[in-house]
Amino acid sequence: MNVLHGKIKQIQTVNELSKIIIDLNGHTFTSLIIDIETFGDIAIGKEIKLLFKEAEVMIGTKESIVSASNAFVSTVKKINQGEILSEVVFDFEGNDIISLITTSSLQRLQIEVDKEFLWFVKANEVTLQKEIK
Amino acid sequence: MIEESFVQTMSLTFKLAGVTTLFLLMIGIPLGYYLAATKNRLKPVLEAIVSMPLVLPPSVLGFYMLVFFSPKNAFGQWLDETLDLRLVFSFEGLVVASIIFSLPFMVHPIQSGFSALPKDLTEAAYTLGKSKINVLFRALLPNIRPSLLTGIVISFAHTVGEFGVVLMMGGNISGETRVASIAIYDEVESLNYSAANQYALTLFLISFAILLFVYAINKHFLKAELS
Amino acid sequence: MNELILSKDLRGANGVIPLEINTTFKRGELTVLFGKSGAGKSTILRMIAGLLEPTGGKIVIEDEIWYDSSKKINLPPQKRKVGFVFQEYALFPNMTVRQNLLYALDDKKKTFKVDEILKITELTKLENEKPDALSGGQKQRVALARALVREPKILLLDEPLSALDFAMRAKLQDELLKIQRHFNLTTILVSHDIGEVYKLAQFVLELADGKILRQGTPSEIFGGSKISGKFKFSGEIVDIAQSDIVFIVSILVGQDVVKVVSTKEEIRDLKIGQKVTLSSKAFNPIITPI
Repeated sequence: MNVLHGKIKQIQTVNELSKIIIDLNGHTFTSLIIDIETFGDIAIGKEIKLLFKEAEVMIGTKESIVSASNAFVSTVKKINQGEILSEVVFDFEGNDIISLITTSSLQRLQIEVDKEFLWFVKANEVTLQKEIK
Repeated sequence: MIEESFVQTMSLTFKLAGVTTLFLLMIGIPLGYYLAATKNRLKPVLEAIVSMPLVLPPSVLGFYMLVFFSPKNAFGQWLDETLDLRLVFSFEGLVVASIIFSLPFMVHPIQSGFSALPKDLTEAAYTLGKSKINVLFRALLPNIRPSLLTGIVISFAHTVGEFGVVLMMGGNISGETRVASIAIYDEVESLNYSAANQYALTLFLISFAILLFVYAINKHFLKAELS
Repeated sequence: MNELILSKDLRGANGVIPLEINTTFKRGELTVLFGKSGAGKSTILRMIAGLLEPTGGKIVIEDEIWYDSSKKINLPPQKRKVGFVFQEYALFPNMTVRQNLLYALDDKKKTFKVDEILKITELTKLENEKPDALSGGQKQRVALARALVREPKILLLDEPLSALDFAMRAKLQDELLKIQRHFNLTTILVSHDIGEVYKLAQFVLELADGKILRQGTPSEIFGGSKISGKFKFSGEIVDIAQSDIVFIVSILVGQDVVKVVSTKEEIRDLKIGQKVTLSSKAFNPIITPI
């Protein structure tokens, strides 16, 4: 599971659906959640954790244009290659972001350590967790 | 031909056993219940006293009772003068001696019966608003029937068969204190082997029948409880 | 309002631990006492029922003082209107199901009450059976029914479902909830099963070493609502196995085993037997008609 810490910047709600914009060292993350009331007390300026599974993180070449709201260019720090699946570890602002992709895709995109790639995750895949004091 | 003295001796034997068992049941239920439930530090002392007759030679017990209840001593004198009760060489004395001597045979099964019941049962009945007496008679005693039966039958059989205490306390007064076990000894002393055999065989068969009855009934109880 | 102030020395495996409780709980609510064994959960229940005397404190149930050490009030268990359900059922083996309930009835003329409760708890068919002929789940249902006959002011449940298998436990949890709401009964349940707490509790008192560690709604305490995922289940890890470079974590949720893909980093914090929350976003599940 990838975990990032950020601050809530903006909340937009239409009926039960809400879009939460989170600021992370100047980068902007988006998360979609439904039924925000039951999640409880969340407000602009509050600290929040972002969680997303490794398998939800996709990779593209630096120049790709994608629909995913959360797309960032980072350097590949480490690759852990398996038979079917491979883990690609990015260095994002000092945090490790792990992407789990098929080994065939790893080879197709010629992903190597120290090269820069685009990693992205759709807003609907980002889970929010309140900071536990 | 069955002699009159044989019938008299046998009926006295069973009268003694019956009366003793009845008293023991009345003493054994509260005592067994108390021993099973109490956390008193003196419980081992009480348990040891109850169990003494198991290990003590009957003659020792008989001897002390004889001395204790003798009208020549203070307690015996008090009983004699105030209650007009002479326990030495009398049927009443035999009953008292038998109760003391057979006490563990009644108390032990009842105590272990109560101990084997879950503590929850008593507490559940309390939370249902039931008094201690109500709980004892309605919720606990019906569930230790095999133990009660064992206690009753073993006490009865043990009293029928006891010799030493009876001889010391009761002597050998025909129709008053002469029970079957004494009669056997007496007949053998007089070299009257056929009469001794009559008593012995009767006791042997009755004891066997009683034990058979206990085990058969308990098996039935156990089966009913497991089904 | 119900009030509970209790102090008592708990004698545990690690010596004497002082129990100190001071809390209130609402009428008609189901409160769960949660915590490890030896934390004092059952002791509290037994003190409320009057089966164990506290060293000091006060017990007020529905504005009635059951115990007050300062006023020397200590009602015996018989005078406290409690429905106590024991872990090991505590049914009277010599009585049938019906007789067990009748025994609890104060006014012997009101046998219709017994009939009604037998019906609600679906025990009418079994009313002439002796407890030994019943399954564990049926026994516990009889124990609950018997506790209800007294029309208790408070229902006390001491880990009533822990001796039952998963399927029976889930079923009885539903029934318990239904009955508790039906009679609007103030209830205290002792449990150490987080899944059970989530399902049943309106309020949780978490105990550790004789003290209240935390109190609140289940999600306030266990952080369920802190996760925004819509599909949330609590379960227990039963297996962790490697496949290629990932790990498959098997989690027992209710009576089903759910398999979840996890990474090496993630399983570092996980171990078999651990209680976990499983969650997924509302966007992920695929709906197909059956």
